[in-house]
Amino acid sequence: MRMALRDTISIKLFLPVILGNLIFSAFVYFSWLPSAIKISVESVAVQVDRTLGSVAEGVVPLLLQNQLSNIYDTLDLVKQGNPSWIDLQVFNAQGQSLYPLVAKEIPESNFLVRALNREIMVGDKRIGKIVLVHDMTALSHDFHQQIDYLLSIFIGVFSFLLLVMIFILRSVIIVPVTALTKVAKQLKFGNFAAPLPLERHDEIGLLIACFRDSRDALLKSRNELVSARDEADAANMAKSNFLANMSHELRTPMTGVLGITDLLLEDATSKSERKLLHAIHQSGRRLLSTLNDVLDISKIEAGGLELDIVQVDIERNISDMVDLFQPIAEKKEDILGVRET
Amino acid sequence: MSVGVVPQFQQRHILEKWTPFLNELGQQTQCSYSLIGSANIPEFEKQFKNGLFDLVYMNPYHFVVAAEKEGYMPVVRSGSKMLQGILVVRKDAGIDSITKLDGREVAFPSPNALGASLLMRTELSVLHGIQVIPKYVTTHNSVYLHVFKELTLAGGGIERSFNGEKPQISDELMVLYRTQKVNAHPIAIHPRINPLLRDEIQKSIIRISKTTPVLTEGIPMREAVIATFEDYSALSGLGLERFAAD
Repeated sequence: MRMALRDTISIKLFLPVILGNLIFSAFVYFSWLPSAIKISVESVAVQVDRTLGSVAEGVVPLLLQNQLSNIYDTLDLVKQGNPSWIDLQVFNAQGQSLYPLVAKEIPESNFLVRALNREIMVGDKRIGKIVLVHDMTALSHDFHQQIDYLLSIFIGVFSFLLLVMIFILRSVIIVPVTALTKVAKQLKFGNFAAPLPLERHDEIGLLIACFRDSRDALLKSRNELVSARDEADAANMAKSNFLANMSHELRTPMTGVLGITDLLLEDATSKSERKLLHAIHQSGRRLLSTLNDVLDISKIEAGGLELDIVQVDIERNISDMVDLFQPIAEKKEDILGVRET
Repeated sequence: MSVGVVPQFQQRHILEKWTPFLNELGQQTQCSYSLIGSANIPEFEKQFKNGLFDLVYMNPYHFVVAAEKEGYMPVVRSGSKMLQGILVVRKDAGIDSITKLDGREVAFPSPNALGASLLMRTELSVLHGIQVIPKYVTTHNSVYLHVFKELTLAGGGIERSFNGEKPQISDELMVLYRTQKVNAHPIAIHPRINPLLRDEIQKSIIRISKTTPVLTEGIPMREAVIATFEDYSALSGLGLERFAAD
């Protein structure tokens, strides 16, 4: 009997674990990660907005004193320290570009690239505007890289542990159970000597021990049955031999009775004597036939029965049967006869 | 000794160039020098007028004022470089004559910057009858940035600072006008300093300029020579004080 792969313990045990792992990884990647990135991006955006506010405050005295070179030095350093600040622009109150040397067009904001505006104020007076284009693509990319790294580690460790568990499962359960199955198959063919797996001190060891005890008990029972059968066969053989011998011993005197009856029939003069002698003769023949049947049974039990294919005179046999039982019928005043139809 | 430097460059630049020079001067004169910062030129002027600096690097007009106010004495000056103011405009501004600047806003570092501001405004007014509206932007770099960004039509600077500007900026600008040349910035010393130490400082700077020119060229002073009051006496007759700020 062969087992389908889906029915094996390994598949039944590890398929749900592998599927669970895949579902967990998919959840982390497609549900948790976008959510975490969104939260981080919003958090960073708030921090950047605050920082931009500080930068705007820092630019105020420089703007008031027209210190454009200091504005360039300061903002160059600020940009250098913030690689995600892909563009930073400063305008005066009239909207003229002050920084950088060549102002680029401000891109439209999206989730990862955002343009933040801050008015530069002195009291209630607006003296300029600062615009920051903040690109958080690198942050998202780093997040993805971190998660990819963690998932790789997780899947790697999981796969390794899975292999270890498969190895342990194979050596601890599958191999001994398979060996036990082979021994059970051998038992079906009467081999009680097939070697069992090594004994162990766990559940499988208990199963092997129970199997061994059951096999020993079965072997003992089998041997007793064989012994009883042999004894019965011997007794039956003795009975058959006795029957055969007894029948043989009875046939000899019966043959003598039939011979003497034949001689008396030749000398009998009255009809009634002849009829009685004939009945004796027929009864003797019947008894001889019965003895032969007993002998045949003995031969059957001894396995030595042989059939003779010969012609049978049914009419004479019936007539003999009537002659045999006629005197009994007359004595009881019954009528025994044969009618042809 | 306290050392002052006219803040016509960024403080970081001044610190980078002056620190190794003062270290070397300190070793040679067995004296320690401490650089005192000035946020801007008006503050610098206030500092030297109050005699805060023992040793000071300043423009010639500042020196004339400092000599008059506190008795500062010249020590050394550049022997090969003369100070010359320049007026720059954008190449694509379509300005080919200074007459087009009459009544227009022009950027200058500070009122008393000699070449870039005082000398330039004096010549424009006295020699060419052109009156401009000054916009003071603290540093020479700011002047060039104002012109580059078209915030002002023109700006006053000096040849040396313009040549040191980034090509990205200087390539877009052109010199429209140059002033006469005057002796470059002196290093002056306060009269309270011992004359023997003053002589030692003078000799040491000239020595450093010869043996390690890279140190003096950075501050900047090329081929230092002895400076005298006569080197700057001509400035007194130009009428610079009309455009100077107190």
